[in-house]
Order: sequence, then structure tokens, then C-alpha cells
Amino acid sequence: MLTCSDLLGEVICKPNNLRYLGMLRKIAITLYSLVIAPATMYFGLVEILSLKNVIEGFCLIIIACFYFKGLLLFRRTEMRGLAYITIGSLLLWLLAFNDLVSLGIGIAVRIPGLEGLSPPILLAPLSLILIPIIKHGEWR
Amino acid sequence: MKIFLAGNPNVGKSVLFNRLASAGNSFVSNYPGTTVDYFVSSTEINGREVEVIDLPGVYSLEGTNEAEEVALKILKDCGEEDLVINVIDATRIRNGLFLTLSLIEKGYPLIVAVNMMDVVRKKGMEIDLKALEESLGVPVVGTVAISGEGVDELISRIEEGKKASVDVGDKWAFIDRIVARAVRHGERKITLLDEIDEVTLNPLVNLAIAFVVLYCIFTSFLRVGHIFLTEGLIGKYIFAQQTFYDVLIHRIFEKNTFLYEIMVGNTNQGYLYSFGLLTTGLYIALGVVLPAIFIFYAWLTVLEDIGYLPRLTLLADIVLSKIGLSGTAIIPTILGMGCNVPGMAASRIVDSSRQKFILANILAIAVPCTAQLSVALHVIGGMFGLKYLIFVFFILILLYGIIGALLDRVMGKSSLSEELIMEIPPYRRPMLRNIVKKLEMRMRSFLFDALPWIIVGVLIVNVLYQSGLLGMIENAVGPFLAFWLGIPPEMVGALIVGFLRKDVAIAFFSLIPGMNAWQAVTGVVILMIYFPCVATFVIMFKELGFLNTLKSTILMIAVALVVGGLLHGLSILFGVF
Repeated sequence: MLTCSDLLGEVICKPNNLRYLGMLRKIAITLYSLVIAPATMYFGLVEILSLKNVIEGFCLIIIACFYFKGLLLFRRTEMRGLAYITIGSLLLWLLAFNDLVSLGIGIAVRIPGLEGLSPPILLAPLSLILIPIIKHGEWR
Repeated sequence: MKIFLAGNPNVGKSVLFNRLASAGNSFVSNYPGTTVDYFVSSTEINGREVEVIDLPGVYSLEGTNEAEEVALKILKDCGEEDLVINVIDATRIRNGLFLTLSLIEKGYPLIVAVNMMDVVRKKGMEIDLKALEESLGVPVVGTVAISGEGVDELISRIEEGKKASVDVGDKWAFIDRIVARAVRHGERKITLLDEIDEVTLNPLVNLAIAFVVLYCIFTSFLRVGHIFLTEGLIGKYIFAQQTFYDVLIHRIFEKNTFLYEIMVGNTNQGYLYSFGLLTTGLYIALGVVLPAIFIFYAWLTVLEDIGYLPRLTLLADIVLSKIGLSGTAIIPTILGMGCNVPGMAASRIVDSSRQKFILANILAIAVPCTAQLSVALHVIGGMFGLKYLIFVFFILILLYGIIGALLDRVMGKSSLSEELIMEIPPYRRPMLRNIVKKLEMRMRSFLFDALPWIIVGVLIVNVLYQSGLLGMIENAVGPFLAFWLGIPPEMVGALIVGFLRKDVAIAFFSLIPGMNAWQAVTGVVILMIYFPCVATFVIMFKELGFLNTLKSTILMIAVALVVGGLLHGLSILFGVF
């Protein structure tokens, strides 16, 4: 008996569909980076300029740089670009995990309506989209 | 029967050791040179009592470095009925086979375990184990030690281990023939992990990653370790007034007795200030130092297992080469920040005795352990603010560079090339089991090695104080301390205890009345650099020998006097406080 996953596999494996899926993945990663890179940069600058958590601000700017560099490279050398984007996401998760553990203890930047949630915690869920994209890509 | 595990560095010997010896206690990390000494564990294999010995990683058996000398010395015990399991990294089979042929030449009964077969499969390679077995003339088994694949087969073939009777001749030519026969390279597909591997070899990328990682370590050390665990949990619900523990010890020991003063002390100002064995003694060890050590080692263990530390050596090499050290010195330095004892033991990882001497000295002088830092954070941070601790850090980093550069110049350049040569292992997914085991071993090692010294340190302070001896020593040495270093005479007690434990010595500061921030900074700096704790000193003596340890001791005291004098001079010159 054919399962949904078999049917999905059959559809995906058609050469034309595979090509479209590849393109779709590229678009998704580009869009994802275009959203998360400026957002991370913005939060980083806010943290530095408000002098609330300067070092974490620098960390966020570093992460944003990884995203921007990845985005630039992604068009020409897909894998290299994705490597930079992945490193950026891993560092973001690291910061978010660290902030989550110490949530309520730390000195999170106050964002109206989201008090106590630091920028890494806010950005991390957005970056989780990278996991399925990498997992189902041909990059493993 | 004895089973010796021999192989190149970072091929998975220690993982296999832990699999073979179920009670194995070997450290497993993803960088070459983790096992600088050897580990022994007894177990039962195929119904026989077996002693499994994990040797340090070596590339040959020519005794050209300390690890090879250790391996050769231990292998001398390999008798007729014993066995050597030669572990080879399947992805670097040529290097591994060189050692195999050396073992065959020396006539050891042998089995070859070709490890990391999973990585080979992922890389599209194929290794014909049968052909390898025929070429070498000894049993060959494919393994994935990390998952346990092939380990049962290895155990079942232990009895087949034998001396090979092949004529090796020119080793590299022989290896070429074996590789041509047994290894097939398929089409290699570059994966995302390969790309990440490549990208993180760039020093600039590494610097950026190191910045974020160090920030995370620092914040979790501060927020989780200090604010949450020490102050919010342990210091509030266990080691505090009116807690169950407090009521209990006050019930057990009768007030105003000698025993009460020794065991409990005056807890009115808090557990840090009472200097009783069950109050300050246990609070320093379990409440202040243990959480900090736990946080630091949790991070270190994960970074070790991922394989990040060797990449850090590439970045560190750029800086450390200026002071005569190779980048590998960053690994003992980081380990030393946890505890100086394993840091000092790991100093073997550097290439020459000259580098080892420089490294041992800067470790003893300028690398504070987590125990010292956590207590300094508690006492100095609590009394005067975090900025003074950052200033202490700044002085220590400066000393790391200055002492290193001075020793490099005084000792002269080595005749041998000291460029960094290190195999960079691939990134690996850390195993939870290994992380938990290593953390447990490190915490246990702290509890058994450090706790007794902390208790003894607190006891000595208490006895000196109660007997009035401390006052006499203060009167004798105090004027010099005040004149040259500008620190209060009461710090004599801290300097005495500092020979045993630095954390207890820094905690002693809380007993000194009227001390200002500059005196506290000077005192902490002197304490951190004038002499390592007794446990580190023992390892230092073992590693450097009598003469070099004597030189180091003179250097440490001289540096402490110069730096202390300079800080005092600065305070007079600029009228600080």
C-alpha cells in the first residue's frame, strides 16, 4: 500500500520537480537570510547604542555578518554560502540557549510587550526554519 | 592477559578503551593528544581476566617525543600471551599503517581495528578489510567505536591476535602497495559539514566564533553559576542563616566551645565570613566553586567533543608564536582555567621542553583557575564591584604575554622549527553519554582532590587565628608587606593558606577589616601569581623536574614582588585611594 510519504517521494523525485524544489529551497534560504540578517544587525545595534548589553550587541553583529557573507556567497557558491549561514544560525542558537537558561536572571533588553525576552530568544525561532531546509536538501 | 591499545592521536583509542573496559575511565575528546598519560582498567573479556591499557597517541615507535617514550616503556611489558590492538583511523589509513608496520617490526602480537568506518562510507571510500588482512598477516576488523559497531567482532577475534611474519622492507613503499590494493576512492561528495570545516579554518572566522563562544561561557558563568546557583540557590537555601542546615549544625555543636569555633564559627555576617569547617569550608567548596566549575567544564566538554578546540589553536598560534609557544598551548591554558592541575598535566601536548617550561610558568603565574575566579567574583566583586575583577584579569593577561615573551628571549630560540603541526579533526556530534561521563569524572576529581585541601586551608586559618599565631606572624612580616606591597599585614594569613588553596586564601580577604579596593586588587594579583596551589606544584615538579621547578619558584616569587611593588608604586604615584 502506498503511503503519503511514498507518494511525496515519487512526486519529488521527478527530475523537473527536483529542479523546482531546488529553486524553492534557494529562494527560501535567500528570503530567510534577507529577513534574519538585518533583524539581527538591528537588534545588535540597539543593544550597543542603548549600552544595556554591549558585548551581546557585538555578538549579534558578528552573527549578522555571517548571514550577510553567507547571502553574498550563496548566489555563486551555494555550499560555502550555506556554511556561513549555518554558522550564523548555530551561534544565534547558542546565544538564545544561553539567554533561555538564564531567563529571569539576566539583563535582557526590554522590548515593549515582550519584557524579559532577549533578542537572541526572539530571533532563534525564526532561524529554526533552516533545520528542515538543510535536512531535506542535498547538502548533508 | 594484557591488551594494549596503540594508535595515532585522535583515532578513537580512548572510545574503544571505554567500550572494551566497561569501567573504563579514559578521557575522550575530539583533539589529538587528549591522552597524555596512559590509562589502565581491568575487565573480563571472553571469560578471561584482562587488563586493558590505553596508550598515548603516537605516530611511530622511535621515541622522538614524550608520548612515544611513554608508549615504548609500557609496551615493554607486552608478553607472549598479551596483545596489541592497533587502532587506525580509516580516513587517514596511510599514517595509521606506518605505526602498524612499526608494531609488526617489533614483533608484537597484533590485531588491527580500522576505526571510523562510518566516515569512510560517508566519504564514498571503500576499504577492503580482507585484502588488508592478507597484506598485513594479522586479523583486521572494521569498527565504529563511537556507536559500538564492530566492537563485538573485535572482541570475538581477540584470541586470533598474532605476530605477523611479513617482510616490511621500505615502509612507505609497502604502505603504497597495501593502499593500492585495499583502498578504493569513490566519487567524493562535499557535504555542508565539510564546508563548515573548511570555513572555520580561517582565523578571522575563528576569532568571530571565539568571541561569541567566550561571551556565552562568561555570561553563563556569571548568571547561572554565580547569580543563580551560588547566590540564588545554594547560598540562600542551604548555606544561610535559619536554613535547615544552619539549624542542624547549631544544634549539634554547642556555642562558645573550641569545637564550635572550629566547625561553625561566627555566622552572623554570613557563611563566607565565619571560617568554620562546616560553614565557610563547605560553602566555598560546594556553594561557590562547584557551580562555577560545573558551568566551565560543561562548556569545555561540549567544545572539546565537537572538535572546536583544535581550530582555536590555529587562531591562538598567531598570538602565541610571539611568545615562543605554538598554538597547541591554548589547550592547556583553557584546561588550566578550569583547574591548573589538568592544565599543567596537559602541558605535555606542546612540542619541546623549552615550550613546556614557558607554558608551565605562565600557567602557574597568569592563568587563574575557576575556583580562584569564582571566589574572587564572590569576595572582590561583592565588596568592591565587578570592574576590579576585570582589572585583575587585565593584569593577568598582560603578565601572560610579558612573562612568555621574556622567557622566550632569555631561553633563546630553539634550533628546531617550532611551527604548528597539528591534525585538525573533523567536527563531530558530541555524545551525551561521553559528556555526562567526563563531567562526572571532572566533578568527582574536584571533590576528591580539592575539597580536602579546602578544608585543611580553612582549618589552618582557624587554628592560626584561634591560637594567636597569626597575629605573631603578622607582626613579623606585616611591616614588609605594608612597605613594599602596600597591603594590610592581615593578608599574611591569606598568603600562608594560598600555598594550599587559592580560593580559601581569597575568601580570607573577607576577614580583613578596612581594606580598600586597590589593596584587594594587589592582594588578589599577588595571591594568584606568587605560587601555584600545592596540587599544581606537585604536577609541576613531576613535569619539569627539580632544577626547572626551582627556577620557576624563584621566578614566581620575583614576579609577585615586582608586580606587587609596581601596583603599590602606581597607587602612590597616582594617589589611588
